[in-house]
Amino acid sequence: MAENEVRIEMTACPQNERFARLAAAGFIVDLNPTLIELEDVKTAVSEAVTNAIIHGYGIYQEKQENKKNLEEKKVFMILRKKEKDITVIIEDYGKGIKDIEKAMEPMYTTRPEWERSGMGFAFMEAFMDSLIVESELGEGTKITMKKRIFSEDRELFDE
Amino acid sequence: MRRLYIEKHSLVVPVEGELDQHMAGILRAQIDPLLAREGIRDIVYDFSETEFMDSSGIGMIMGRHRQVSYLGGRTGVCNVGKAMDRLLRMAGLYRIVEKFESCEEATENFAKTRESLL
Repeated sequence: MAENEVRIEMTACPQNERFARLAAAGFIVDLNPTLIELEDVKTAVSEAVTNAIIHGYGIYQEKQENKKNLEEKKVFMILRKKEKDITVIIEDYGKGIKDIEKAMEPMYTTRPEWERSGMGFAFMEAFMDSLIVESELGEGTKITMKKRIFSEDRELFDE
Repeated sequence: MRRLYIEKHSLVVPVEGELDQHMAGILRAQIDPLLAREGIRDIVYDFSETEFMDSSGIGMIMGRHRQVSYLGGRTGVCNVGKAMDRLLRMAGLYRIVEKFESCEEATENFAKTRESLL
């Protein structure tokens, strides 16, 4: 079975956080995920896309100046599936992460004044099977997450 | 969209739909003026119609709590479904937020405490 891939390029605006979740959910729905698996993937995608928008491109309510040239600020989502295995890649060409290890520490945030919980990476790691973060300052960030969808084979707590 | 309302001097925030970074900003802009204007310190989030939440939602709840806790305010959640409960637990939010079955129970509980402090 060949790998099935979908690529989505979207403007870095907060409205697309929801779209990205739905797109990822729509992509994996034929793998018959349980409700929990679906929510987990949606949450992980939401975290990564939100990071790209607000940290990568600095698109945040208070920072009006960053919203100029919004059409040039893009977030890329690549979705792949092969049998039960899915890969989600979220990529941006924003400012990049200075210290990846520090960024991934639970509760650490570079923006406490924006009420960030610092839990984005922790949730991505908790909800997906693997997480790889690649980043270059001034160039951008690439998040690669994988998960195996067990669907009805796995006994999770019942809905 | 259900409006925020004040019950027994607590601010009740119905969290409808999806509480992501986008929605958190919208809610925050509704909550803060009400807190300031009415001198409210206790907040209750109604999760009965919440379909999704991520760490941005957690951050918003934590941020609002930090603000009111300086004034002795409390934060509660009510009508929390299984999925939301799991997320709140994973985020460790139950260390600072109190869970109630219903919003009435939450606002009643907060009102009693306020009275006993007078």
